[in-house]
Amino acid sequence: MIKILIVDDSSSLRMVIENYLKIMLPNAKYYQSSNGVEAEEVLQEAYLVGEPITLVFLDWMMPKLDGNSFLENLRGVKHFTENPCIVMLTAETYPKQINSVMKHKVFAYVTKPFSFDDLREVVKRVPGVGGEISNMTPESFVKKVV
Amino acid sequence: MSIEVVNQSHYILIKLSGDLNDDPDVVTVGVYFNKMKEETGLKHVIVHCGDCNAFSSGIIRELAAIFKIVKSLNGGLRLVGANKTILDFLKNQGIDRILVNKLSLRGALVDFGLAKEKDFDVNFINPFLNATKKVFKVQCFMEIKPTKPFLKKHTDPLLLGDVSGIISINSETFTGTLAISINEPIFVKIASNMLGESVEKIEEKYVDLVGELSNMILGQAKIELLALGYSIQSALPSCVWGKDHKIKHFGGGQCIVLPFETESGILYSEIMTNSDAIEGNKKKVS
Repeated sequence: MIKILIVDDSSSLRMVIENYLKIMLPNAKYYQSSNGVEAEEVLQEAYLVGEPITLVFLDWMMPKLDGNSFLENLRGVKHFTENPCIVMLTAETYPKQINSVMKHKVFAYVTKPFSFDDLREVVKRVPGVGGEISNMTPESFVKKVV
Repeated sequence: MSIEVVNQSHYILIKLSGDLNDDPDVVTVGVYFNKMKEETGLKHVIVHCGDCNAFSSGIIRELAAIFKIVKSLNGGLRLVGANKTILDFLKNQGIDRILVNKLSLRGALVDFGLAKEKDFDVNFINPFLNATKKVFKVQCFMEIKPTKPFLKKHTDPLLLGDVSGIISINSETFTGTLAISINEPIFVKIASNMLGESVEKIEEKYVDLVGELSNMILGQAKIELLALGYSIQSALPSCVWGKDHKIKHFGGGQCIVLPFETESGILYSEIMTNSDAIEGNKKKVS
C-alpha cells in the first residue's frame, strides 16, 4: 500500500493537499505532521513496524524543525538516504534555496500556490506511485474562475 | 579565477569569480585596490563574491590588508553574495564578524550610509499586486481585480476584513508586514474552493488558510522583489479574526492598502513599514 506523509504547519493546507491527493490516489494511506520533529516520529515509527512511508510532501518554513533541517537529518540516516521519495511543497521561491535543498535527493520542488494539476504532474512521475493514479476528474476542484 | 576592480563613484567594487583556492593571482587584488584608492580617494569597498566558488588563505590576507586601510580612513568593507562554502570558511577562520557578508548590494550601501533604508518603495506595489492575483487564481480558483491603492494612516489600526493573515517582511533594507484581510463571504468562498467542501462561516480550524495565503503571496512577490534588490527572509505567518479585529502596527510607519474586487466583496492586501525596526537595524560600519 502507498503511504503518504504530508508535513505542513497549516492544518487547513494539509487538508487541501490531502483532498487533492485522495482524488488521485484514493487507496493510499495518509499521515499528517505539523513540523519536522513530528514527521521524523512518523517516519521512524513506520520504518520500525515494517510499513515505511512511500512519499512525503514537505513544507519548508515550520516551527520546531524546518523542512531543510529535517532533510539533513533524514538523509544522514543509512536507511533513509534514498527513501522515502520527497516532494518539497513550499512558498520559498529563491533559486539558491531550491538548489540547496535539491542536494538532499529531493524528487521534485513545487512552489505554492499549487494547482491540482501541479500535484498530479509530480505524482505521476513518482516511481511505484504514478501508475496507481486514478483518472477521476475532481468536480469539486474544477476551476470555477469567474 | 578573475579579478575586476571598478570605480563606482562612491565606493570601489571588487568582483571576484571562480575558485580562489591557492591561486597566485590573488595578490593582484591588493595591487589593483591600492592603485584605485590612490586615484579616487574612495574609502568604501564592496567585494562581490556571487560568482566565486571558494576562498583561500591568500585572498583573506589581501582582504585583511584592504580592510586595515579602509578602516584607517573610517571607511568600510563588505562582502556581497558569498556562498555557504565561503561563509563557512570565514567562520572557521574566526573572521566572519569582520568580513561581513550582505545578501544584496543595497544592503552593503546602506551600511556605508550611501543608500537609505526605504520607508516605502512604490516599486513594492506591482510585485504584491501580481502575487496576490496569482495566488487567488491558482489556489482559490478566484479571479480578483485590483482597484486604486491608498495610504492608510498609521493612527488607524483597523484592518478592513473579518479575518487576516499576517507575515513579516524582513530584508536588509526594509522591515515591515504584509497583511491579507478578507470579509466572511470571501473567506467562505475561498475556503470552500480550496478544501473542495462546503464551508459556511469563519471557523477557527480553517482560519490558518488566510495565513498560508499571505505566506504564498510574499513567496511569489519575493521573486520580483529580488530583481529590485530586496532579498526577503523567510518567516512564519499568523492569523487574526473576529469582527472589527485590530492590529497595532509597531513603529507607526506608512501603510499602503491594495484593494481587490471579488464577486463576494473587497479584499485587502496591506503592506506596512516598521520604522522603529528600521532604526533598530542600523549598524555602525567598522
